Amino acid sequence: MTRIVFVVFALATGGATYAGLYGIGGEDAQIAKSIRSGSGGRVGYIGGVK
Amino acid sequence: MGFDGMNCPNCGADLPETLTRAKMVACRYCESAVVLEDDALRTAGEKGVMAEEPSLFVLGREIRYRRESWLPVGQARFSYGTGWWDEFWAVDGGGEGVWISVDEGEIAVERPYEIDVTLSPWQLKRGENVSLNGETFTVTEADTATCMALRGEFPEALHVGQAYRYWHLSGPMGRLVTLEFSEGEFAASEGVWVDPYLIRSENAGA
Amino acid sequence: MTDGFSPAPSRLAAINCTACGSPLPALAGHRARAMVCSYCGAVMDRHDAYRLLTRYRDMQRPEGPFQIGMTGEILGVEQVIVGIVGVTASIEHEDYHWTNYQLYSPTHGYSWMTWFDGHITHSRKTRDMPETGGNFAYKAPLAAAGRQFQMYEQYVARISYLEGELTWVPALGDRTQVIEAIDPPHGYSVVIGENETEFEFGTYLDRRETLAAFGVADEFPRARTVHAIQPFLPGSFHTALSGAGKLFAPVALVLGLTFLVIGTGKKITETVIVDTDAGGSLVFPLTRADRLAELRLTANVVNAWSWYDMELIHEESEETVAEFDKGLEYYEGYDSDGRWTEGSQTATFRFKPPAAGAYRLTITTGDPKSARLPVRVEVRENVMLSRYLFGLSIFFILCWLSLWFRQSRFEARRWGDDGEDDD
Repeated sequence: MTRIVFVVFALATGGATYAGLYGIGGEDAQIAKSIRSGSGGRVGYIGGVK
Repeated sequence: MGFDGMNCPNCGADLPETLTRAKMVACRYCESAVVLEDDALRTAGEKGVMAEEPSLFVLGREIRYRRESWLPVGQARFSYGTGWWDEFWAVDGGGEGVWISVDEGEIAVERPYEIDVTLSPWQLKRGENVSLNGETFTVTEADTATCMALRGEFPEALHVGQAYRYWHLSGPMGRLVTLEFSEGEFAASEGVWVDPYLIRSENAGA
Repeated sequence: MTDGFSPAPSRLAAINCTACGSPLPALAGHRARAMVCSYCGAVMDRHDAYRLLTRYRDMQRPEGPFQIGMTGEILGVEQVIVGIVGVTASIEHEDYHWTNYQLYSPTHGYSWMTWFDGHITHSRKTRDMPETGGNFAYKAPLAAAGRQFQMYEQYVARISYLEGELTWVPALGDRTQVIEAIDPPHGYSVVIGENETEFEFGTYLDRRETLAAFGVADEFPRARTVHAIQPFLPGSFHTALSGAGKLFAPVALVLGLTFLVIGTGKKITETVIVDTDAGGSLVFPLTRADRLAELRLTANVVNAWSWYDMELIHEESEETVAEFDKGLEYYEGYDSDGRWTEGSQTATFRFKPPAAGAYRLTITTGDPKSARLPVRVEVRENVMLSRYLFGLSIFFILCWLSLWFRQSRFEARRWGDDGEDDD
C-alpha cells in the first residue's frame, strides 16, 4: 500500500512539474480554446467587467 | 565436576553441588529428603509424589520479572483447605534466597519479615486486626497446610506429611504478611505480589 | 518416576448440579468458589461439596460470542472460559449491557474477557495501586502500574446474569462502583465492592484475532462506538497517505517556490500602445513552441474600465492564431473602513504558441463606452507555472494531516465529545 501511494504521489509531483513547465491548460483559456479550434475565431467573452 | 563428594545417605547417589548453601535437598533418585545438619547428612523421610502440573516456574530455569530474576532450585507442595499450592525456593540475581508462593496464578515473592510483637495462635482469627510494626493488618486466611511433596533443595528442613499452621494478613496498600507457626515459634514473611503476565521464562507457554 | 513426580491426574471433568442434576463442566481450579448451574440457576459452593446456596430462575443469557468450555490464547496465555457474568450499568441515564467471561489459566489464574458492543477487552486483577490518589475528576491524571492513565468515567455496575464457575460467591443484583481510567490500549479500574476494593488492569484485544483464537466465526455486528481503551489504529492506506504526504509536501512546495522565483521567463519585448482607439500592434519572436509565453497588459485605469480586443497573428502564414479580449477595471475610494480598491490595472495571458516564429499582436479598444487609455504590453517566453505544484502541495499537506484529523475525530468519539449520540 505504501509503495502504491508513494508511486502515485511521485507521478503527481512529476505531472505538476511538467504542467508547470509546458502547460496543460494552464494557459489563458480564451487563447487556448481559440488556438485549439484552429479557426482563430472569437470564442467568447471571459472576464469580470462590471 | 567440582563436586565435594556429598552423597545421598539412602541410595548413595550424587547430591547437587548447591547443597552446600541449602539445608535440605530431595534426592532425585530415591524417595528421600536429605538434610544437611552440622556438616553431616541424614535422611529426613520421604519426599512424596508431586503431580506434574503446568507451571511458570520450573526448577533450574531462570525466570525474569521486571528488573529481577530468580532461579528456582526447590519446589515444595502444600495442600490446604480446597487445593494445593507450591512454594519455590529460588535464588535471585544477587545470590539471595527467596520463597515464591504460587497458587493458580496468585504469585507472591516472600522475604523475611521481623515482627515486633508477641503473638499467640489463638488470637489470630479470621477477620481479626493485628498491629505489626505500627501498621494494622487483617487476618484474611487461617488454615493448616500439609507438605505433600518436595523436590530440589531448601534452606530449611521440610517434612512430607508435616502440617503447618499459617495465617495470611493483609495490610494497607495491598501489603501481605504470612505467619507460620511451628514448634512454638512464629516465622513471618512479607509477600510482594507478582503479575504472572509480566513473567518471562523459557517455560512461559507451558 | 525417578524424581518423585507423576503426570497430572485427570481432572474432574463434570459434576451434576446438586439442584437439578444437569451435568455441568468443571473446568476451573480450586480457587473458584461458586458454580452456577447453566440450566436451573442454582448457585453452589464449590468449597463446600457443591452445597446449594441459592437459585436464580429464568435468567436470560446476555448476548456474546463465547461459551463456557471454549479455549483460546489471550496475551500469549492459554485460557478456558469457565463462567459468564452479565453486567448492566446506568451511565448518564442510559443503560449499558456487557458480558464478562470468567477465564481460567492454571499458570496465570483467573481473569476476565469482556464483550461490549462488538469490542473485546481483557482485564486482570492487579496489585499495583494508584500512585496518585484522590482526584477522580474527568480526565484527571492517574498514575498506576507504571503508566499514566486519564480518568474516564465512574458508574455503578449491577450483576444481571450468572453462569458457570466464578471466583467468588455472587448474587444477582450485586452492585459495585467502578472508576475507570484509560491509557489506550490499556485501562485501569478501581472496583469498589461492599467489602473490598480491587484494582484491575485492562487491555483492548483485537476482535478478529481473539474470535479466531477461540474458534468463533465473526458473525456479530460491527462495533458502533469507539471503546474507551480502543487504540487508534489507522489502516495501511491512511498511514501510507499520511507518510507520503509528509514526504512529498515539502518537495512540491520547494519545486513550486523554485518555479515562482525562476519561472518569470525571458522578456522578449515591452511596448506602450498609446492610441488604442485607432489600434496598435507589436511584433515579437517566440523561439519555443513547447513552452509557455506570456502577455501582460497594464493600463492606468482608475475608477474606470477599459476594454481591449486582441488578435494574435502568426506573421509567416498571416494566419490569425487567436482572437481574445479583456477588460481592465480598477476602482478606489474611501469609506468608513478607510481606503478601498477593487479590480486590477493589469491582465496576464499565458499561452502555448502553435509554432515558433514571429507573432503580431494587435490591440484596439473595442467597446465604445470603454475608457481610451494607453496600454503597456509586455511579452515573455519560457515562463513556468507554480500553481500546479502549489495546489499539489496543499493536497499533500492535507493528506499528511489527514491522519491527525482522523485521530482527533477518533479521540472525540472515545471521549464522547463528538456531539453525537452513540446510537
